[in-house]
Amino acid sequence: MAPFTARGGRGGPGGGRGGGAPRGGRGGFSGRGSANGVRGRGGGRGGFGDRGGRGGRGGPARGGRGGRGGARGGPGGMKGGAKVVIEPHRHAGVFVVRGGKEDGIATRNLTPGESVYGEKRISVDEPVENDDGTTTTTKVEYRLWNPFRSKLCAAIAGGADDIYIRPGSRVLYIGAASGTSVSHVADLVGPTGFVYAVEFSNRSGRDLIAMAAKRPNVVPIVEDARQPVRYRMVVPMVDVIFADVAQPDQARIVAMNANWFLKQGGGVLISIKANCIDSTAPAAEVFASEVQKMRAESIKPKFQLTLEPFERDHCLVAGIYTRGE
Amino acid sequence: MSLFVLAETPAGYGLLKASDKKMLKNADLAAELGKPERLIEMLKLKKFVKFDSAAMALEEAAAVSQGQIPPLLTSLLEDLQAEKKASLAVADLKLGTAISNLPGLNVTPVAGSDTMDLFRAVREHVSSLIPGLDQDVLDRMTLGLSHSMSRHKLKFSADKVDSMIIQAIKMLDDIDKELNVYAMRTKEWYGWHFPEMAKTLNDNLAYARVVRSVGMRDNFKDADLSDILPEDVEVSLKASAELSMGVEITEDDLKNAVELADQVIKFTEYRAQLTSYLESRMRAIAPNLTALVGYLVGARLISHAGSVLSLAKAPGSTIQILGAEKALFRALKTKKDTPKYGIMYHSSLVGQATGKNKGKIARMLSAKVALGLRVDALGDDDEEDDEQRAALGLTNRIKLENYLRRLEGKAALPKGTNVTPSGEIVSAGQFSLKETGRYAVDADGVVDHDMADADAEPATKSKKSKKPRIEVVEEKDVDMEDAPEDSDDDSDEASVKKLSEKEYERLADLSGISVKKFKRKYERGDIQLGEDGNPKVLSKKELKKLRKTENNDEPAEPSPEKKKKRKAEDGEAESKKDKKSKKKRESLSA
Amino acid sequence: MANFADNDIQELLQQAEQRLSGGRIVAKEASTASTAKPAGEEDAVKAVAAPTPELAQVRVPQPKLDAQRKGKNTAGADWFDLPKTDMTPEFKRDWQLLRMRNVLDPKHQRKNLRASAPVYSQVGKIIASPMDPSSARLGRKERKQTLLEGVMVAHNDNKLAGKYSDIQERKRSGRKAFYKSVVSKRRQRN
Repeated sequence: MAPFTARGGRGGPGGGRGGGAPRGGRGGFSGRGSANGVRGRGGGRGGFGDRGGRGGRGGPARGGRGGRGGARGGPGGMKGGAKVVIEPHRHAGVFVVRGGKEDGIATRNLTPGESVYGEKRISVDEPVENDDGTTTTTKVEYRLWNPFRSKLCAAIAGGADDIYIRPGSRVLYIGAASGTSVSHVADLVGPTGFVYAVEFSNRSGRDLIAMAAKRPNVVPIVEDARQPVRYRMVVPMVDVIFADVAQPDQARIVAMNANWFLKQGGGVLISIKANCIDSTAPAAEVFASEVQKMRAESIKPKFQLTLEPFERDHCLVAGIYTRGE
Repeated sequence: MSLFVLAETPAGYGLLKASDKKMLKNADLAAELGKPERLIEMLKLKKFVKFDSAAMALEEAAAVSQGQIPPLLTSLLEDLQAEKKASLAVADLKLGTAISNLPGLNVTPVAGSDTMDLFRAVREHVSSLIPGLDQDVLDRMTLGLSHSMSRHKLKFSADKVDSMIIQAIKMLDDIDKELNVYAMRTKEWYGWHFPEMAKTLNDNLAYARVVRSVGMRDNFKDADLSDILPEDVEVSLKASAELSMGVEITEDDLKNAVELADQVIKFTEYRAQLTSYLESRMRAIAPNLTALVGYLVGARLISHAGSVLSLAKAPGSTIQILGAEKALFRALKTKKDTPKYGIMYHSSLVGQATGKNKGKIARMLSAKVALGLRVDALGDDDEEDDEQRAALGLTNRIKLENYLRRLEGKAALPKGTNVTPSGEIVSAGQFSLKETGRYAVDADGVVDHDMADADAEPATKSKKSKKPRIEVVEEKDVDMEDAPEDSDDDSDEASVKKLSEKEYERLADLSGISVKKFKRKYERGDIQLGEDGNPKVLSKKELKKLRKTENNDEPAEPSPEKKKKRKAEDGEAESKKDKKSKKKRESLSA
Repeated sequence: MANFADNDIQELLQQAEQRLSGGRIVAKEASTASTAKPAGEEDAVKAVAAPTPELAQVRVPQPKLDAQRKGKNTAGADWFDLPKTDMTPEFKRDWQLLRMRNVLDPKHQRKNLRASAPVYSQVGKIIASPMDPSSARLGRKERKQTLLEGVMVAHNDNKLAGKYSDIQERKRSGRKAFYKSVVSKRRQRN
């Protein structure tokens, strides 16, 4: 078991949290209080007459998906109209955006002119030399990728050794949700790659299909990832499996899908939420046991990375599928 | 005996023939399949049928993924009829059994783990195995097929009816909140003009209707409110309107307040309509569940699980604590007792139970709910009427009702008692039962958050609005807790009624202690006057004993503690006040 | 752009050559394919018909061939042919600024950038969306041509200079250090 190391979150290009969004971030619990303004004003002055002592009700209102979402507008320094420098990231297909205040991660937009979920875009005028020696400019677009909203981006920002996904890859994305992260992965693999995005929920599937309709390299699959048989006809052999399903039997789901669709030697990336596997055990133990499960399923773990500044008690485990070895 | 392989591609079906019939028995099959040139030798294309249209592809793919045999595949398999004792490798076990059941086909399907390597290889090199099927063609087909499949899936999603229920119950919750806010605002607003009305008229709807029909306070004299209010309230309202200390407002001010009142009325009407809609929906979709816990709690359960089917998949124990996840996980983490109920707490059965029986009945009820749900979600209803469809739930409801009565030491329900599909209990030959036995529809509603906390049950996640029924119960509890103390105080006071000096002297003489001592003791209540007028002095020992027995009588009563706490808090507040005033004084003096 | 047929261009070139050589060089007959042959019936028809497709039309922008672009000019297919950095002085200054961001905003620690500017990079502009809140947009006047200018708006010179002189003034006015320095200067003079 040579090169298997658990590493801390910080560092890496993008500077970890340094460039993080001061606002947005962990969505849902901003200072706004209840959405409605009128409620939740506690027993302050001028409440409802004699009942002023009440109020503030609906305390633990569940705000959507808890930690995710709500990070609109991107990092604080990246304001509309500001100039930035784009340079290649260590990982193929990923770009680093350097602005006056902070850095970010971006992917090259496959469908210029459109944001998928309200993320910031960067436009670049690229001079193109024609055959006759003259030049024209074409517009190239990049989309900023928010590590607070995407586990994969969090892993990249946290300094993952290898994400296996690169331009031209075929990726099976399990737990695609609304397709926000998927759109970035689709950008990453480019027009020559493919993303097979599996999502079970009908509600999210709707958004996923809408997103996929604009990107010819995204194959939307609204099925249960526990039954790869159901979508065997539309998924060929893939290079990478990325799983973000937050289910107790996550390892089994990934193993099943790898068994069906993952090439020998293909990469596996699993984002693990400790609470979803076992809420009573400490996070580190949960991660260790998941890694053990992966080993049993002939996925050779390569590295483990906590997504700490971006997600609490999450980690990303990467491995290589070594079937029948 | 030859081996065929069925390759399903998004462009069509391919039937491959293996050159080696014992290929699957080969130990290092996986290694050999890894080499594409070797694979092409091993598998030869026998026939390829392609899908003619996108619609056909969708139809075929949908059937195949469900493990059924669509028409095109049947026609392809007919080619194998000539083969004797052939075996066919298929990717899906279910599809394999379906093929083996196909009449007139002498083929043994092979599926399972040993074919997995084979199919992995086929999937990887399908474009070289099937000539003319380029990778980009395949990708295009895949894209089209997957889009149409997922769209199809969304369009004909099975739980679309459930989502109506989920939306309705969520809307109901929202509307309750909004309605409360609006009604309060109306009271506040109109209260400037006529503050006394809120005191006499508690009901939000009635308040709003009065505001709308009367308007200015001066109009109360001649207003006819008989269709809105009972007579006595009307009279008292009119009386207080005469003497009101509210401010005068202009017509403009009034107009806006009245418009708000209009909104309250409209919202209330909509709420009633929504409730009846939800009830009818629930009775149609989950009759057994509705019979057991009522439509509100039932709808909440469904909304929590996402769909009837996923709720039906949950075991009773899960249903029992549904809605108390936070408490459950906290309890698991800290190794404390897990919660006894979540959403189920609001069902009338659990509401009726007292003390420990609450947990017991919640457990039993959720077990029955699990059974009923499975019938609701998975049973075949062949156009029976409501009563029959809910039969399981209704009988179980009676059983539970009786069980609860036994636990509480009450008599069982008389024989022939029935439960209507909506959950109301009807005794034999009678249309409605006494108030106590009736199914408390309101109890299906909702508790206020503070109340649930006060219960000290790690149970309820209640985001619901307050329902008067439960509140009343709660208040009653408080009253009961308070009551004995009050009576004690009263008796003490009664016994400590003042006596004249003469009497004191006489009684002190009788009991054989000094007058002063007697007086003190008497005022403390340590002396009881016998019926014959003779005083009885209680010694310290006796007093101690008395106190002990008293304590034993009311050990579990939380009220003294609570009271103490409250007092302590009051004391704190007072001390704070004191401090503040002290500070003030200091600052003043400085 | 005026429309020139190939023939015309050839002719013009030849005329120019003649002029340059002082008329010594005579137009070579049939040296180029398209120059006029003795006009026959057929050729005349061709001459009328042929030039039309050969007109230099409005350019259609075409990306250069991959073979040409590759080599060392782009970051390669892995980064979607990100072009080589345009090393203008402005860019160099921008890069210097990026390296020294820590100084301008010491509260946020960032990893130090390498000294050399990246080999492959582009300069882009964040697209302002009307959907964004105004806090996430720059006003028209705040928009600048380079990163450096953009950053320096926040740290403008006047402000810094003002601050500096403020501090100096406070330090100097009649304090002990000031007085001492005056005295010491006087002593040195004496």
